Amino acid sequence: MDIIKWARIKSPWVFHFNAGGCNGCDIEVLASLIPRYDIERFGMILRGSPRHADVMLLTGTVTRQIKDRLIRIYEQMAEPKFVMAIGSCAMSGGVFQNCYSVYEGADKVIPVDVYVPGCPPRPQAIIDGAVKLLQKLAAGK
Amino acid sequence: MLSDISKEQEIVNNLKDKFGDKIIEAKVQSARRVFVTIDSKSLIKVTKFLAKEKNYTHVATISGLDLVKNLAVIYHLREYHSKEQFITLSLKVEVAKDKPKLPTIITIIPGAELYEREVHDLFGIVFEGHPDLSPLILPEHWPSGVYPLRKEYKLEDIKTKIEKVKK
Repeated sequence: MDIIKWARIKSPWVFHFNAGGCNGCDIEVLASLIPRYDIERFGMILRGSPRHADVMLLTGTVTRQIKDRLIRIYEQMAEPKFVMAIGSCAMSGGVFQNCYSVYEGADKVIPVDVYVPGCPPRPQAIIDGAVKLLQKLAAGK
Repeated sequence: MLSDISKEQEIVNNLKDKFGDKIIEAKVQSARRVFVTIDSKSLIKVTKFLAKEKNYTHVATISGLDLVKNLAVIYHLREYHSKEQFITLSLKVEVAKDKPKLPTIITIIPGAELYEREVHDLFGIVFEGHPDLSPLILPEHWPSGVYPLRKEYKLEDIKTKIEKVKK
C-alpha cells in the first residue's frame, strides 16, 4: 500500500458547511463528532477552515444565493477533496425541491462522493457514510 | 375564560365609528384575534389611528396574498401595552394587480421596513415612499420583474428566466 494513500485513509479531516438548511442535520453532525461516538477512531477531526480539511460535510439545501459561495469554498479545499452530502436536502433538495430558489441536490453544483439519507440522519448513519467514504478510498478511487 | 371579547369588539366599534364605510369588513374572529378589511386609500389614516391612539405599534409581519384578480396585503399589527392580553389585528388591503401601489407605513411604524421589502420582492407591490426597495431575500442575479409568489409564475418559467439572465 502506498504511503500517501495509507495516510489519507488514516486521517480524513473534516469540516462542516451548511448551505441553507434548517440546522437539523447540523445538530446531528455535531452529535456525531462528540466523544460518545468517538469518530476519532477513524482519524477524523473537525477543522474550522476548508484549507485544512479533506472532507466537506455538506448539510442543507443548496440555495441559488449560496451556490457561488459553495463553489468558492469547495475550490479552497486542497486536492484530493471529498464531499459528503448529509440529509435529504443536500441529496435532492428534500422538501424544498421544486422551489424557485433551490437546487435539486448538491450534486447539481459540486461533485458529491457519499450521500447520507435521512431528515436528519442519525449520527450512526453519518459515521457509516464516513466509513463508506474511507472504504471507497481504500478500494482505490 | 377566553370567551370575553369585549375589548376586541370595542376596537371594531371604534374603527367603524371613526371611518364608517372605509371599513369594508371588520370582525372578531376569536379572543385576541381581529380581522379588518379596509379601502386602500385610507390605509395611512387607519394605521395612524391604530398606532397613535390605540397603541397598535408593533407589526408582527406583513403578508401578501394573490387573489388572482387582485393582490392583497395583510398587516398583522399587535397591540402593545404592559398588562392585559394583547390583541392581534390583521389589517387587509386589496390592490389592483396591474397597478400594485400602496403608501408605505414606515413613517408610522418603522418596524415595517423589512417586511415591506420582502412583500415587494415576492409580490411586486410598490410601497411608495419606502427608502430602499432593493431585493432583500431573493438570490443575486434574479431577473427583474419576476415575482415568484404570484400565481401566474410557473416554476418552469422562472427557471428559464433565471437561465436567460445568467447568459
